[in-house]
Amino acid sequence: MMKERIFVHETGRQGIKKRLLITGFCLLIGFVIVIARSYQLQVRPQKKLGRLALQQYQKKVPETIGRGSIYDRHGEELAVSVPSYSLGVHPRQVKEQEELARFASADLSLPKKAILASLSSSSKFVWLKRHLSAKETAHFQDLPTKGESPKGSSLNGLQLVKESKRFYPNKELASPLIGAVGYDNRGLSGLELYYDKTLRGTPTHEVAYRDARGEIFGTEEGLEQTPGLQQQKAHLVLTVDRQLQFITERELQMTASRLKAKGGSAIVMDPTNGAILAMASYPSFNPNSYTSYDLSLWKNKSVAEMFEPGSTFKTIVAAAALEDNLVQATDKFFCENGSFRIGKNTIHDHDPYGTLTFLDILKVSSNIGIYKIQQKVGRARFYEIIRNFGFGDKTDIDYPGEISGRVLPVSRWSEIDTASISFGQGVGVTALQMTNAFATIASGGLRWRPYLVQKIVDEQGKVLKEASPRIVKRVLREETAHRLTQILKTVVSEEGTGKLASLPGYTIAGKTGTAQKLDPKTKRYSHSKYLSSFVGYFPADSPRLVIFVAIDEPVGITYGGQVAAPIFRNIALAAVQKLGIHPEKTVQQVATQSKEPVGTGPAGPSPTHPKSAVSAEVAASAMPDLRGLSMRQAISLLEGRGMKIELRGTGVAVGQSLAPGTAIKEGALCQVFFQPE
Amino acid sequence: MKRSFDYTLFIAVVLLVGFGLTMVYSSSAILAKEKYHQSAYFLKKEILYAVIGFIALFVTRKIPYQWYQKIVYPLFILSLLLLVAVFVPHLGQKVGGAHRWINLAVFSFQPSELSKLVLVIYLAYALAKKKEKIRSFLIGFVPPMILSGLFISVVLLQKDLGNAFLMTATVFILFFIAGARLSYLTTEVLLAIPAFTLMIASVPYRRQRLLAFMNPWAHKNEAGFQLIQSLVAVQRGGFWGQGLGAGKQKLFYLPEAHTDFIFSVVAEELGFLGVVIMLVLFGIFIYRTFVIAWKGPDLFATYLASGIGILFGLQGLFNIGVVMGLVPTKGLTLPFVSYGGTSLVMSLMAVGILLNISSQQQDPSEGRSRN
Repeated sequence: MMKERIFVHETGRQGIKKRLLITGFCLLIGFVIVIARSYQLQVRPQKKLGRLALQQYQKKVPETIGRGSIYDRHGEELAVSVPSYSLGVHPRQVKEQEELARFASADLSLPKKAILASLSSSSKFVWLKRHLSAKETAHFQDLPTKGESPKGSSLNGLQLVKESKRFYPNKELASPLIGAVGYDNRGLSGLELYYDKTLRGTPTHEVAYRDARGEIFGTEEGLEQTPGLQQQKAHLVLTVDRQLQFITERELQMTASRLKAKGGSAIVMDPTNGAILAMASYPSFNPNSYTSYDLSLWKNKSVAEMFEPGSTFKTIVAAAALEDNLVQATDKFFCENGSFRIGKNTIHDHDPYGTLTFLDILKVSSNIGIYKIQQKVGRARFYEIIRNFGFGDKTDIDYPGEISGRVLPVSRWSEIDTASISFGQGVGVTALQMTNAFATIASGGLRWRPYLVQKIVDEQGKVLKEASPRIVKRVLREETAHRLTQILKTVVSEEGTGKLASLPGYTIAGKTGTAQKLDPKTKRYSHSKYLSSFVGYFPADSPRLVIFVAIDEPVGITYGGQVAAPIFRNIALAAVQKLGIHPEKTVQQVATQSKEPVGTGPAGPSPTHPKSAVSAEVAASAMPDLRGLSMRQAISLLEGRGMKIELRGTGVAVGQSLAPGTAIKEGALCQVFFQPE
Repeated sequence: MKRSFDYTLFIAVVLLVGFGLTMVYSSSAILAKEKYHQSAYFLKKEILYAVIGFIALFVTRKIPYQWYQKIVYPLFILSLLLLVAVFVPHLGQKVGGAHRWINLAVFSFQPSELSKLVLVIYLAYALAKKKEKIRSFLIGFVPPMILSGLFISVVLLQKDLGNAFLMTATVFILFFIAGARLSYLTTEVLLAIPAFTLMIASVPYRRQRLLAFMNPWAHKNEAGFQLIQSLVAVQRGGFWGQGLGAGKQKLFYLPEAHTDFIFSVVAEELGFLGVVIMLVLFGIFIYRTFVIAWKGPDLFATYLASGIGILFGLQGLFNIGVVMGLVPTKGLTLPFVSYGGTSLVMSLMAVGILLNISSQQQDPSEGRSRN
């Protein structure tokens, strides 16, 4: 009842004062609540709000736009970044959508609908078109960075952003190797991907504070850098030689397209340290406009594709047999006249052979012979040597997407598997593994880790990191490697399967391979699809280069000795000029041995002199040394260089009117003289 | 008349206005620089308003408060006309879809700010005149309620829900103080609830705001943006604050940083300490108005002073409540502190009235003897 009195009955001054007190008290409670809330928000920690604040203020400002360049070993540009402009829009700042869309669609040749769709986006910023052409850029050049546009408010919200675009001055050259870069300046494949952080510079963005409209605070606040995270973009200097890469690709491409092959790969490697001088993959793409190419073309077949090697793998059997001192070069084996039954299966030779020496088995590439040698080695030991050579493991090259190939564990080998593997069927290897295996033999039994980047250089030219070649393991004794080399030399002789790889003035050790491909439909070996390869090194007794060539599914001629060996030869020919590899003292001997007349004497042809060969000229525009080539080979080498060719005589080239190494001028005449062998 | 001038009240107000000017400058400088190429643009205007306001304060201090009883109806009609005038083309000014301003060439005038004060004067007059009759429904309760309702309806027409709500609350509390029957008041409140609900639910942006208030994180990028940004500002303040001028939330994260959300900037830059100091100053002001009401020489003075106190107290609490996410966004400014000419001048005029009342109050001992 008391309350009732206060509230209802007391209308006099007393009651008013009491109700005034109540009201004041209520307001006081309001103040207390507000202060308590303030305490809760300000003094007690509020993680969620704090995080949001930090998130929204910080803007990652890419300090250095662009990307480091990629150079070849001589500093020639392979990939550079050029400034480029992109057009974006802040949808929330747009005032007149229709007008802006009309304007932009006319100048950018974009559908108006697409632009309108971007304008109604809920994002703060949307790209309209990346990497505008110069003409397109000019249309938007006078857009202010903020505020009113001179063209009137209709263009409010548009923003021209300076970016960088990757440019590959050599177009297709080494494209699967180098890879490509996406719109957001990130490497998509190849070396661009593997060295993405180096090229971009790891978080080089500075953390700046921004206001709600995304603009960086003015000079009052200044930019706040995050210390310790700064790392500038850097340049790559590759082990690759641009000119050699060019020739390798050209030779690979010419043969592959002539034989309508599905693909091909070629590698040039320095066996003394594992440096890759050239790595070609056919077909390739133009990375400047990579979006118009199929993704499959991006694949670097040399590291990301495996194949059954065929006879080149016989070298591994030979290496195992020699390493364990199980055979001598002259030991004889009966080759069953071309047909040998193993259980239910029969293995064949391409030609029937009776009794062959160990040396001859490799020279003529007898499957039955090599199987018999393999039996002396034993499965387990053979498997061990295979793995020692690096088959079945990644080579650890500085490159993304490398595969390890496929080597069945020895426990699962049947007898016919064992036989097949001895001549390179039923085992999957990569081109790089095979190259590396031969490099191992070439370097006296040491297996090196292959690498592609010679050094990383910062913008001031300071070397940040230099590649240090690394020996993975010793696979063979030096003596074994030496003895194997002597045998492999005979492959590239008049009687050997690799005779077309021979290069006058140089002894070459190598092995041909013609592998039947497994038909994915029938699961049986095809009689029309082959992988033809050749792998070798030279000069045989102090090797400077290992060259691997494979042509996938050539049509017409299929033998590795006929398909791949000539490519090897042409690459080697260019390489000796380019790298200044002197011919051996025994030129005359070699010439006699191969019954090839050599124009000049033992003094050696001029192209191999370092001074003229290692000119800054692109090898493509320098006159090649044609001596020793067939007419067809000479033509193919001179074709497409804009010169007139005059052929005299028949047989093998013995002289040329333009000296090797001289610069080719457009429309110049070159006479080539041939004599019968 | 032992005490002719309420220094406590006056100093609290001067400090609040000074505080306000500082914060207006801090919160508007960047916006002003960008919009008008002059960082002190808003500060200069607000200083001018403060000068006008203090002149008005000293004028109203000299006007005996009893005089308002004589001109209450003309005042009432004038204010009503001004409220309607915002809808007159060329005269009225539309900002953000709401008609709230009258364009007077040099500056614009916000009639709703005047109407709040006039409403309090009218109510004080009406309630004082009715005295005991306030308890009778038809004679005491209905007439002032209808006139107040008319007044508030016009404010509502301006889509000024915040001020309309504030005025409604003030009316109810004044009726309560005057001794109106609680049953009438509760009935009216119950009747008002559906009306307000309808008004909120029928307008999409109000509904959005309410939803955003209830769960700001779910509407982080839309309606909840303002609230979350405000909470971020308050949180960033911590105990000591980021330092005067060092706030970051005013960089366009906070909407209307120098008007509705100026307290967010206060909280961010001056911290919990600043918040408490400001609330204490504000509290002193409200406390003094209640003391003046308590000691009012007559009923009119009591109602007038308490009406002003309730009006300012509620508006301040609501504004700060919005900033701290305690009540839904209303669009109310912080008296004395937020940028806004009409509001500042009217507030200072109200202070002048309060000072006049306090200058006429009886000796405290005399007051006690009468009780």
